Amino acid sequence: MQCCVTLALLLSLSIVPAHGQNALRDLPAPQILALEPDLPEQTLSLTWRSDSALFDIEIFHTEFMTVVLNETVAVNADAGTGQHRWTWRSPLPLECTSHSVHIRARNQLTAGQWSPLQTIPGSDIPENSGSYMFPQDKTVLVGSNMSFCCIVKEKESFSEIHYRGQVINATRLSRRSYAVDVSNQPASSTTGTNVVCSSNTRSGVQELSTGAVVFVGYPPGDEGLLCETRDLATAEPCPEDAGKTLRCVSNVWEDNWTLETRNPLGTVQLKDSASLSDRVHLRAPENVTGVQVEAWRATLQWSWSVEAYKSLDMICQVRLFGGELSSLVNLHLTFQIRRNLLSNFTGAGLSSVMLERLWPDEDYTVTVRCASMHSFWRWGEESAPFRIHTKMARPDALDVWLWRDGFHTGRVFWKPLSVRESHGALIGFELSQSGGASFTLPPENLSLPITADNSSDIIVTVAARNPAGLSPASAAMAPAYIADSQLPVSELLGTGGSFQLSWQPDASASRGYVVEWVPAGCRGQCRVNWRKLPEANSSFSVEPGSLEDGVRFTVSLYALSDLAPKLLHRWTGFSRELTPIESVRELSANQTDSGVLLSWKPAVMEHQRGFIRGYTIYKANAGHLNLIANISNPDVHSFSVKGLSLSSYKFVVKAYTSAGEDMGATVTIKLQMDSAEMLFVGILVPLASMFCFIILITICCYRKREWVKKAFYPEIPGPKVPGGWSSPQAPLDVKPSPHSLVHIVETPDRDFIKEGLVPVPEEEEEDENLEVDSDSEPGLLRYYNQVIGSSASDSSASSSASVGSTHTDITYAGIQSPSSSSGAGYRPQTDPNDALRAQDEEVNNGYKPQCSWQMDSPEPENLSGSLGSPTSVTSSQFLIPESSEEKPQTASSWFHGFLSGKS
Amino acid sequence: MDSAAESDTAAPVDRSRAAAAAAERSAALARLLHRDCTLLLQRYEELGWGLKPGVALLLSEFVTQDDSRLAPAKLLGTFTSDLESLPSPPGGRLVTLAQCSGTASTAGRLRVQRWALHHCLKLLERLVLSEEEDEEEEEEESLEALRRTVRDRLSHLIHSTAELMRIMKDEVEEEPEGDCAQAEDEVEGAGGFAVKLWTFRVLHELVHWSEAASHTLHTIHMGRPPPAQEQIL
Repeated sequence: MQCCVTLALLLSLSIVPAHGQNALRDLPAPQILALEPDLPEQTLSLTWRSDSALFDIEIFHTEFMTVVLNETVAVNADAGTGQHRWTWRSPLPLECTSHSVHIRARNQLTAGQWSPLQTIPGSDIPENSGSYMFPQDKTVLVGSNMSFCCIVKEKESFSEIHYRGQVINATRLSRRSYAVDVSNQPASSTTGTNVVCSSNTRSGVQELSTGAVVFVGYPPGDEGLLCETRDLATAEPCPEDAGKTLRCVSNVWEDNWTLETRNPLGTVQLKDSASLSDRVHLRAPENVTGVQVEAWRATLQWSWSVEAYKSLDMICQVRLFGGELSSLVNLHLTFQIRRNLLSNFTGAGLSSVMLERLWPDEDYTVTVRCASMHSFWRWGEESAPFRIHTKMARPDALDVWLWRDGFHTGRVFWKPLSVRESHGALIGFELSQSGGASFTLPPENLSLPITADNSSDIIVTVAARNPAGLSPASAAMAPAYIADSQLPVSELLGTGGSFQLSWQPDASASRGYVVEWVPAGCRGQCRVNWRKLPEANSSFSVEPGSLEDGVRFTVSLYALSDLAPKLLHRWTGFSRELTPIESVRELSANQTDSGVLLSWKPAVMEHQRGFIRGYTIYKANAGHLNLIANISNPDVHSFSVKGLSLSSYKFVVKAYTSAGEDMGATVTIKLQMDSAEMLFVGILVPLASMFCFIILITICCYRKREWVKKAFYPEIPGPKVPGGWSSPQAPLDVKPSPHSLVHIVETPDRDFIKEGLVPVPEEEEEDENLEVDSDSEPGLLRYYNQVIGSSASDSSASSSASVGSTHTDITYAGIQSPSSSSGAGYRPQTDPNDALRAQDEEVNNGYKPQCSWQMDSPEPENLSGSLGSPTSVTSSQFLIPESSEEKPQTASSWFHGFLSGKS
Repeated sequence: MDSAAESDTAAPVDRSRAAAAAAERSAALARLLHRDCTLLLQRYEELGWGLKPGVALLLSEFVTQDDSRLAPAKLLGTFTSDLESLPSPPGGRLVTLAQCSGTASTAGRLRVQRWALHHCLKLLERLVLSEEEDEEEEEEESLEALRRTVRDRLSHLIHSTAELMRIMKDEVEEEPEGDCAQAEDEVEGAGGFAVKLWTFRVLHELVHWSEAASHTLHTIHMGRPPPAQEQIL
């Protein structure tokens, strides 16, 4: 860095011969005597010696040799010293960078040699390696233009300059110095406008380098500037707080004076005139003190520091701050608001006043200020606050009342004394009862139980005591106890949370009335309130503060006289009704013949919180409440719900006041039949049903008796036994149709009734199918084949159809297979095993009847469609002819045929 | 013997619980102080004493780093003994711990931070004094009250941490050394800007060290058994 500056200086020196070569020899270079910077003023003063009067002056920013001024000036030599002096005001602070100056003489046409460069170093020379900004803490007018420069630290690079948060374009002045211009500056805040310069470190991090503050403001104004006198002799500026920049030019009071005010940005002068007595501003009273401070009054005294005040007619104002403090907390500060009492006093040279109407045992803070009575100018300075504490006084009389809560009990109450009434901290209360002992109670007690009866008057006297003495005694006479049941009690409705009472004036109330209100039903230590009223009153409003919403109060009006208080009237009511806090009690539901009977008891009085106006009955249904009744009579405590079917029901009963319903009580009931109905349904109905069923069966059987007979008791023809059967049985006498033969085939599971038919259980049938039936013939058909013959292969289809109608109980197949004549004959109903055995025995010589049937019988293929059809046991013809296309008859169709009488 | 043994084992537990209770109180106080210091810094900014908006732009990166440091995981997990490694305000730290050692443990950190807070209090009092000397400046009462609150809380925190360290004296590995911290209580440079910058640095030191103390105390509190419950009959 040093080498750079040196190089610049050498360069500037090398310029001199060059200029000299072009200059005339009769214009020598001026001899610079001094180059003086004025840094705060940003001016550069050049002093030189020369015979000329016209000069060229050049000023450079030395480092970059940037010309900042090239001007021809005419400067005459000072007559005394013979020196020339010229001053230049730099737009930039001179500290911003080094400035170099040279000068040459000039005449009309030619210029002389340049003088050697003179340089003043800036703050950016290498010796100053820190960061700087200029100018610092400058005060300028609003709207002015300014230039700031920032010199960054060595080894850092300039980044930017912020003015009021805005980046300003910078101009480089030197290696480390940068300048910005700001114009039309707005007024800054009281802390000034910040100009911040930032730079980049070698690591590339931008950081705050340096900064400056500029204060931009206005010159002083002339509003409200006056002169006044404080010592009745000299003039002082007003307002006083402007004293640093304001002064009254003439210290001695005159009728005319000049007022001058100034600040760094300007000076204002004003002229005014006034009489001395019109501009008196008194100083503050001194040594304020309280003398003769009593309970109700105090004397205040002070002194004056100015002798001239002692004869001045003045008015003084005493300000008392005392008691009843309240505070407001506002974030961090606590402000105290005090009761402010102002008292004015007048007099010449006033220095003592008597303060009256003070309260005993009270703290007061007193300040005094005074003003001239003649042509009041303004209040003088206020004195320093002085604290006085008044003495105590006897307490005021107590407000006493005697409350009766029973024939033999009562309680004497007295109201607490306020600070304004106690006149000092209470020590206690003293009580005495007529004909009884005296008590002393601590100050926190406000009641005492008594025992009494209605036979004699009881008087209780109460007085409060504080250190100053005993209060006047207050007496209360016990009223006679009268229960609510002994007199009519009116219902009282609250209005806006209060009770409005009115009554007819009573002649016996010679000493006024007492209104007493107490929570209903309370005994012992209750919140008993009362108010004594003059006899002229006939109405009273019980304020909400002593009442409570939803609480029933008993209000009594007594007449006061020399005798015991006389109860005139009694009310009961709620200042503001609320919904009951408790639902009805003991809610029950009982089933009746016609429905459900709901019954309940009302909630206890403390929980009613209002006069019960009625009840609402709801039926709960899937989360919804359906109103089924609204009982507007609060004395009704039951309700019958009718028209209900046998089911479960949930009922909700709610009591309501004028404020609304309570939450409700819920009861659930399941309706059931009674015992007689149960007996009827359980016994008689099944019996009747069975009877009807039997009757129906009987009728059906009767109507189908023929069919039943045929179905269940067929007449079996007697077998024709060759040989030894000489006497055939009777059924065999009935000769069947010569061409018909009846074979009875029953399904196996129904054969257990009839012996002689071979039962083929299904399982057994299957077994046989598995074991025997290698040609897949159905077992039933096989049975048929066993009876009829083994060669009836053409009837297998019909047998299959019969088997397929599995619900057919009995199948009659009047079949005479063409192959039956080949040897297989009729087999009586025997054991299947016997039949099998007989089959083996009669292969060649068995019974062979009805051979003629073969002639009348249809073709074998026509028979297949009739297999499984009901068949008369006495006829070889099918009772229900079926075409070959018809499917085998199903069980349902068979049953339908049974009912319709077809057989 | 048994009772003596029980008392021997019970005493550390009681002391640990007392330390937990003291740490909890101090941590709560430090949190309040940190909040108030932040408020105070904001108030200075609002009143033009601060260097916003110019500085705010330049400090944005710094503030971001500072905020990211507030992430709980980083706070509890990476809060190292190298307190000096934390970002510095413009112009560098006023309170430095170059000569401090033994900051590896939580107790050691607390000891060092207490000294730092002690220097912060001195700086704050110097700041108040310099502003009170400037009679022409009429400050807002709220600012003055807030500054007073910060000063009182800072003073209480120093005392409460001293009490906590007395309870934890067995846990400090080495002998408590003297004041190892240093503070730069002179304004560098001339002019209003230098005063503002110094004020800003003082306020930032308050914010920084109250926060650091808050986290250290929180760590101490969380590492302790809970205080014994008051017996309820």
